[in-house]
Amino acid sequence: MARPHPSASLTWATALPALPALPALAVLALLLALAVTSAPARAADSDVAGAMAGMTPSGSSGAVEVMGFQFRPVLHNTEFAPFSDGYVHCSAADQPWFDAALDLPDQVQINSLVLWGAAMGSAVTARLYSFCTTGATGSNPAPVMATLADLTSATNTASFRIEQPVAGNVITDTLRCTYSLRVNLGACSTSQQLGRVRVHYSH
Amino acid sequence: MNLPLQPLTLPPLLLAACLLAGAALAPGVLQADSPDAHNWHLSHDIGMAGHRASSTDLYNSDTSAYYCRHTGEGGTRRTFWPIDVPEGLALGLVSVLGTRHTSSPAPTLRLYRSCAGTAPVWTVNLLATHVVNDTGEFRALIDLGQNMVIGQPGTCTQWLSVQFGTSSQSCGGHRRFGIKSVLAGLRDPDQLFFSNFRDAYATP
Repeated sequence: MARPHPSASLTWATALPALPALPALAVLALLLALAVTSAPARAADSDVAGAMAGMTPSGSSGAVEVMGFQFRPVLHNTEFAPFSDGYVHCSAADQPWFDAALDLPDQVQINSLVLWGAAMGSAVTARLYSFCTTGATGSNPAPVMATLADLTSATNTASFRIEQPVAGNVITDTLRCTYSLRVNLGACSTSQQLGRVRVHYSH
Repeated sequence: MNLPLQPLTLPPLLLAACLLAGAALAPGVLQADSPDAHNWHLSHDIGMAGHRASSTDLYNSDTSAYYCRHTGEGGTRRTFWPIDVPEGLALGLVSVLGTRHTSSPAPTLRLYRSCAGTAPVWTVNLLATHVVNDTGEFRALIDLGQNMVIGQPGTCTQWLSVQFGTSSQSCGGHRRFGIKSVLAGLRDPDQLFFSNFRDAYATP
């Protein structure tokens, strides 16, 4: 009589002593399952984070806006105060500059710069800057500053909205560049006000 | 063909298949109990991210909180926290964590939305007002309910304003009256089921 192969005679009952190995297999399977099922969830989280950062799907457009109260005075001792509804103005005659960081999405084209405010006596100006390490050389390269847009209001307008296209097909690179706004109120008084600034972009 | 281990390997494989199926179901079960249930997306800001309305407003910071530092008269006592609502999402909730001493005035929270188009003058709408009467560590919830604000970043912007009493009131001393964090609850406005997270936050 041919002796059966040892493993062929292994039945479920006879294999019971091998069951302690099952938890290890189960854990392995569970880990595999979690890895498979959680990967899309992480991707979804990443998508949400992208949306929260203002990223836009291809072919769409968007805007980043900064209200007057979000600007910070360039000089630490600048006296500033609200006028109303998000506006800000300064009261010390020689300190009319305000800066704000601009949280633009990566790889979008900057299309235009819009400025709201009030100017009664002096023009209000706004500039959009980029500070990039692209092309900088040396062991400790300083960021290269570029003025991407520069607009100026009329000198006598109680409330204005001015817009200017950004030339040069500027594509944002948030890995190497930061973007900021500087507004010069021209003078400090309650009639020289910074309202809001908006930057339009497209993907 | 010799498959010597088939009787033994089949049950573990079935078990693994069951575990895979169970694990696939698990995220749905877990999501129902998590703050992110029903596609709520949370956006946090620390207290110190607030913008004081005037240079006359005195403040100090500790562990990222914004504390009103006025012990006497002065200042507007107003601080603003911008709230971004991306395109495709809606603002449904704002939850504010803070602390208030028994001698501090009741702070007033106001949620605003301002929209600007092509006109030089823009609109500002007061969406909600909430007075915090609790003392000690507090959590204040502004629930917009069905009046959620649809994100229009190309036209509109939102902010939370906190009024730390009037200019004649003391804030109550050093680090006794402040905002620790501002959390915005955003969600997909097209989702049908979204009440659980709001209920969870509305219940202290």
